[in-house]
Amino acid sequence: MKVKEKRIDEGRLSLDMLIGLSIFLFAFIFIGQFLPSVFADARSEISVFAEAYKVSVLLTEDPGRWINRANTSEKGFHWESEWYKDNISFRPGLARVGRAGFISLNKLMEFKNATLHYGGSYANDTWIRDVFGLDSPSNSYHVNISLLIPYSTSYNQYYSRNNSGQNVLTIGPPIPNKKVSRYERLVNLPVYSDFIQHYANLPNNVNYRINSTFPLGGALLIVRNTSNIHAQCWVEVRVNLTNTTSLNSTYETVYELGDRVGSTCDITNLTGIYPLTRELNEGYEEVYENFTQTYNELPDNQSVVVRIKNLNCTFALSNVGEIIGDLSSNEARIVSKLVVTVWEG
Amino acid sequence: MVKKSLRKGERKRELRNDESGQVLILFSLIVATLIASLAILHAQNLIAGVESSRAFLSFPKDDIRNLKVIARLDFQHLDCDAEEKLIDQIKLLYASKGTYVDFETISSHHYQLVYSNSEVYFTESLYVEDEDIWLPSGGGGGAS
Amino acid sequence: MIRVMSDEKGQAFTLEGITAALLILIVTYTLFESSVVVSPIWSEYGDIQLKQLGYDVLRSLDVHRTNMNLSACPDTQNITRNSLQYMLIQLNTSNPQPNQEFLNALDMMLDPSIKKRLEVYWVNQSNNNTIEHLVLINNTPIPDAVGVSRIIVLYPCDVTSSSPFYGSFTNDTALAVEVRMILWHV
Repeated sequence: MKVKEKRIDEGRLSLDMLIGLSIFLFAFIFIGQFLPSVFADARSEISVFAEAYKVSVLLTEDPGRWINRANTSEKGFHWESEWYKDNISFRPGLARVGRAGFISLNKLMEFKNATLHYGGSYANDTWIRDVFGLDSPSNSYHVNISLLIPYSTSYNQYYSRNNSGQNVLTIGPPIPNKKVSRYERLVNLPVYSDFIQHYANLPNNVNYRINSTFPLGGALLIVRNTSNIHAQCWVEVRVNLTNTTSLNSTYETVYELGDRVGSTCDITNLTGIYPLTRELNEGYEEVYENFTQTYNELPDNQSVVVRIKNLNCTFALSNVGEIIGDLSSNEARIVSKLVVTVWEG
Repeated sequence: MVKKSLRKGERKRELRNDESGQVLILFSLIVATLIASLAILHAQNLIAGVESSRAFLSFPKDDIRNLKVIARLDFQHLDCDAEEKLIDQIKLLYASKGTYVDFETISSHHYQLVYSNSEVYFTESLYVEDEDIWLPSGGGGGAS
Repeated sequence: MIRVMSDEKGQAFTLEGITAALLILIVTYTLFESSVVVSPIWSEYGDIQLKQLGYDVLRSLDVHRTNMNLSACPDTQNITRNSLQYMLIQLNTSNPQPNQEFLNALDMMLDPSIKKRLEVYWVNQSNNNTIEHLVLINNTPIPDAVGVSRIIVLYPCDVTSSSPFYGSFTNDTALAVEVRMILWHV
């Protein structure tokens, strides 16, 4: 009797021991597996983030440097007109000399040319990695540098495009679908004719139609003066969508200025510089929804219609960025997002 | 069957006497301490790795550029007296944030910008008329 | 007696296994969530990105008038409505609010996940140089928020008698207005 009970006792003991131990081991192994991966992630992301920050600062805040190796007293900031000559060492930077955050057009163009020259294509980031010191013995990175319109968000990206529909700046391989470090800067580009999709001084009475692509980078209406203050004056801006096959068409008025009832023109209160980017982009989304719901098809022509009565105006659209300032003044600028993305691989 | 159950005190004593399982707790304690100390070491390592980015938080590059742009673009619209008063206002605004800022006039169109707080002491000579005001000092070389 | 005892021994072992497992899990969890080890670095990263972006926004919206004609002021007609200058000039003492065009530009440049608070500070020159301030966008920041600022110079002809800056000018001086923006992620 006593012996039998003892045997049962021992058996139970080992089973409980087993359960207890396995619960402990299970937790222990789980932590063991989980811990290194968490640290490895943090480590790579943190070091990559610093690289993305560095590249963005060198590009947007620094004019770059060049030096003639054969005659070291020849040196300076304007590498864009020297880099292709013999014996020249240079590091690119895109900022205007002494104005951090303001991009020099020549430097931007030559930066693209140099990438093509050393890498063969914009998608090749070998030269960029080399010149910004991203290659080190222990790590290898890839970098993508792109210019986006400010309407873009981190999950919805729209490239800045010039008048021929090409990306203004996209350098480096496509961004992979894995963990990357993304550093975003706002840069000020000069008002360059190729960055302004449409720029027109509109006369007194006009119904002006501009084919455009949405979302827009920027839109600006400048009301300058009137020819007759004793008559109605107004501006109306519409977004118009059409399917060119079925000829179905929908429009919506997204902006109105002035008084269409009275018989005088309040020009002092109307004169001014009006940004319309948000109105047009939000209007487009509404019209698009209306169109697809009404006609069960997609529009293939997008246009902005500006109707002007008795006012002299200037109207400008850009697919590069937000237009800030009167385009004729030299402090005017186009604001875009310069996004530097760096990842390990 | 001797007894249906133990009394409360006896049961407690039985649990207390059973010490063999506590090696598990002991072991887990050791492992936990190890993880904790490793994590702290690792964190210090991380902090050391991001010095360059942290420097940005303490060096006021954007404030200084803002001041330089004011000297370059706004002083030209003002006479001597108004310029003096503008500098006084800027001094006061920065003083309220614990920073000493001054444009010391050296001669006309030539200033010494001073920016000083608990972390940074910075001075730069500004020639307002000269385009070279924009050049970072000492690194420029020729005009081209 | 023996049966009962063996039952309790078994429970004791399982109990210790669970205790040990919990101990490790809790320690690891606390470490990852604690401010000592990882979180300050992460929040600082967010800070660096956000602070730089804030300075970038203020710089882009600061449009100087290079060829300003001081006699032709107020100059609101020639100042773009999405600039800091226009936003400051159009402020009204009775209800100081930024204009919609300025807010649109601000919203477009900052991701929708970023919240902001906007304040202006200036020196009242006719009241013994006291610093006055106005809150233009009144959101309550979280402790992780970052602040950026930029000084904008206003000229006496820029402001009308309805402007909150009107009384702060003495004759023919300029006014330095500090625009302070506090940003944080939600």
